[in-house]
Amino acid sequence: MKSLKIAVCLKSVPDPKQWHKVTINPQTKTIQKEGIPRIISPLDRHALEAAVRLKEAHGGSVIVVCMGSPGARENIQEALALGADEAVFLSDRAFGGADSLATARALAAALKKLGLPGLIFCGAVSYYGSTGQVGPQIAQFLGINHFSAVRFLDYKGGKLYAEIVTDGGFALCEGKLPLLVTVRREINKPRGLRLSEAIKARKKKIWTWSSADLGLSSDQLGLKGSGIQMFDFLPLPEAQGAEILEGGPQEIAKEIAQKIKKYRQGGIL
Amino acid sequence: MSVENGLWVFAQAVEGKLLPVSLELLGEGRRLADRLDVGLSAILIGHNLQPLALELIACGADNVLVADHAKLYHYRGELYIPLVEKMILRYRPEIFLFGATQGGKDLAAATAARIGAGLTAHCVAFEIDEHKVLKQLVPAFGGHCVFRSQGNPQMATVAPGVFTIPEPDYERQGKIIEIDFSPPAEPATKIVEFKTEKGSAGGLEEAEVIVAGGAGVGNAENWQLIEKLAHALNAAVGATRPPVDEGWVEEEKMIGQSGRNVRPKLYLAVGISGDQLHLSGVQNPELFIAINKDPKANIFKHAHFGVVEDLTKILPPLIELLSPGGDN
Amino acid sequence: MDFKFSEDQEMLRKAAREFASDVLAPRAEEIEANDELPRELIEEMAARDFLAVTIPEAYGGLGLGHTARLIIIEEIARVSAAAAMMLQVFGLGIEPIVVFGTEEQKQRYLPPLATGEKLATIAVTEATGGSDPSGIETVAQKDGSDFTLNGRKVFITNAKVSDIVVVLAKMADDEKTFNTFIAEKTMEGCRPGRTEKKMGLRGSDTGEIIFNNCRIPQENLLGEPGAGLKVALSAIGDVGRAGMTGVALGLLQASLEAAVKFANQRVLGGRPISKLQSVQFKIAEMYADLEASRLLGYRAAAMKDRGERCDVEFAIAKYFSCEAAVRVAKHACDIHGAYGYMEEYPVQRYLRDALISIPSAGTSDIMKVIMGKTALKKFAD
Repeated sequence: MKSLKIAVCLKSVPDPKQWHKVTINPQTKTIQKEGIPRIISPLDRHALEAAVRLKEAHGGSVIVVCMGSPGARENIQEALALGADEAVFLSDRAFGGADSLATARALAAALKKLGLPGLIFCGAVSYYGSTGQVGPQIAQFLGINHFSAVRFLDYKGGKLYAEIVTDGGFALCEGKLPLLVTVRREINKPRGLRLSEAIKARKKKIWTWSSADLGLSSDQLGLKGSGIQMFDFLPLPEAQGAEILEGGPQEIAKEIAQKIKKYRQGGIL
Repeated sequence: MSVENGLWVFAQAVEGKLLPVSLELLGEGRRLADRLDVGLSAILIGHNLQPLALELIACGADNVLVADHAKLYHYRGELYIPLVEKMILRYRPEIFLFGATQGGKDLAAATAARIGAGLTAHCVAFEIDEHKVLKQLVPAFGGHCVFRSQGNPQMATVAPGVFTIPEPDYERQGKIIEIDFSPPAEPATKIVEFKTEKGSAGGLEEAEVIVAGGAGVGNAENWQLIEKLAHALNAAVGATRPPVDEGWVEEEKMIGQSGRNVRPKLYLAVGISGDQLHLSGVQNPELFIAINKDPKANIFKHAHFGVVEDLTKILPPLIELLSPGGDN
Repeated sequence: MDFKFSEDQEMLRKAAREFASDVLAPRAEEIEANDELPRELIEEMAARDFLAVTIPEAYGGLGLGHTARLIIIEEIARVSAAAAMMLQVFGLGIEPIVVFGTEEQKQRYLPPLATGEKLATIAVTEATGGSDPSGIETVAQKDGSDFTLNGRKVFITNAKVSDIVVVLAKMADDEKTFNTFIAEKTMEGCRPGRTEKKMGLRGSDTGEIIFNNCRIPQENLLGEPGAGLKVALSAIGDVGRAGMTGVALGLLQASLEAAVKFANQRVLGGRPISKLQSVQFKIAEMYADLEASRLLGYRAAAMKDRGERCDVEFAIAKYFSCEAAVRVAKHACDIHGAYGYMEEYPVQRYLRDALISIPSAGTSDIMKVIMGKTALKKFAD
């Protein structure tokens, strides 16, 4: 049997614990996120873990594909320390400002250039954007099937079994490779960073590809290749602000209880 | 009104019923279609769909495109995506709206990629500009980002609960158009088993009273206070992202842009800093009380009443007062 | 001069920080309340290779050296000084084996220590003194080719959890001759004694190790016969001071972060107290203390990794950073006002933990002796 080739699409995102520091410049309409540490988007880390566990159980290789600004290299290094074998870093100004469509187009082109892996893993949503669109869109650009929102996975007899979350409950699906899956957090508990793996990762290869390497023109990529464009930002009027209740905890608790009671007696609830 | 060049809404049937968000979108779709003077069509895929098609017409659809087949009973990307692509290529809609459900998001994303159209997620309002272009408003950074999508159709997803369901009028007339479907001879994917299970959201979307906790709750032990308070108030429990990430509470209880959209009458926010990603999921509570240790927390700008105090000091007496037999 | 960590070192920091914030931080209060570091946290540290850092690769370790060790101890101490102290003294237990052990001793003891299957400590201090080891009363009696050990070691970190104890004793027949041995808890007559109740550093296992006619085979003699003082003190020397500097750095960082957070949140007279110059000045001093301590510590560690003599540099780093940790933790408490004294804020813990860093691995006065002697020689004309 041919050895299993697995790819994981990773996004580097500002640490969600510090999202309150992300702001928008109302003039330039650009998002400011400088100085916030970057992490592997949390669900992508579950995707990586799923891929690495599959490799550990069935053999094969795991390659990471990541599109991002130069700062993302650190997260790619981290992914290599977490069990990936090599990585492709799509780094080019032409990729900047991409929406899900342009992102998926670039990632799909890279995956095609890699010789279409049998299995491709993504997080069900990336943090920050959280559209959940990129995974299904990559599958379309590659012309392969996909399962979205997978919470349990098994691979046997050359087939993938995936339990997916649906609008009516859960469905156990079966699929032939090649397949793309997007994973939810329930699928596994990602391993922690080990020092020995971090050191081994130094020797692993990171290929850096530009738009030219993908054979895509600049109008298919980045902001220009995006399907949606933000053209305005409307700030909300400053909210009025709460009336702050003063007093000791007991008094305040009593006041809240009274407010709720009064509100309920108003017959509204 | 014609199905060509019109405004489309994806009407999702689950277990023989329409999802509420499909009807919510019809209400907003009707308003936009009238503004553009085009037809409003619902795309209905599933099995035994006749009564659902009539419901869609009653809620404002001029046309219902129906693909009815036993194999289409459950959402399946492999079958649904090419089917919807085929409909788009044949009838060329101008605008196509989807509910941000599991199936709706997946179908919208995949279809958009196939036809190379832009897709805007998390929309909370739409406007039609002077060039008859759809302006899509997405909450972020204490305001709204306004997007335009390129390509045809202009596509967007909307979370459940953003718009309201229109009053049905079963006198309304509409056209039902059957769409041919024949399943592939050798599909690459199949559903082995289907388990119907009500999500563990605990009726968040319908709840009139919600007690929600955020990062400030601090730990799993303190989270029990949130649960107890909710119990005392007969309320649903909600959360922001950090408690979900920490594993104190299930993901289904997350409120906000990437979680649930709620319309409680009474909203009690505990240990929530109140960023826009969360607050955009809470629609106009009539009584909004926030408890947070940090006097500068953004939540105090939006709440009606605020308490600047440690939740472990306020919640225990409050739970006691609100519990049956408590002093109320 | 390039005051920049390498990419690899940044990666090690990231790994340590990930463990500290995701695994350790949620349990820091529990460690404090129960005065115990749960075993599974030690196992998790082992699984992430934190115990293998200074053990050579040939013996199952990573051979990463002392800058790496300092980075890891600093990141862990930022969340739990008690957990960092476990690592610090573990490092002291293995260092004499790495430096003075025979090939056979290294093959036998280091691999299970690198994986965390076994834990180590060092036992020098006795009721009669630590910084003056010549005052110890634990004696080794020659017994054929083996030794019999009798004595009571006190204030030993990892007293209960350790499996392997590097122990200093004087010879029964010659009070001037010292030997260091590798003892094992499985040996008859080697057991932990009482556990200390401490003002701070709760969760760090501190107590006695008692030797009662404990028979130690000759192959467990560490280093040349009679070289016991050199063997034991080499560990407490550079490596011990490096580790305490790491603990201090973590406490400095944690104190400063807590102070800034509180100063920004606490409102007095309608505005946060961080707007007050008196508070800003305290924060400024704390910042300078942190930066100075960090530079001193990492400079000494870099020298150690280059194989240079660095005893004075570590003495300066240890003295300065541990004193600074106390100053800065006190400032952090002061900024908190009465809250700084309350258990619900961690700054009181930082202060209690910082205080123990001064006597550990040589008091400030001992450091001054070393620094003073060197300076008097170095700057004499």
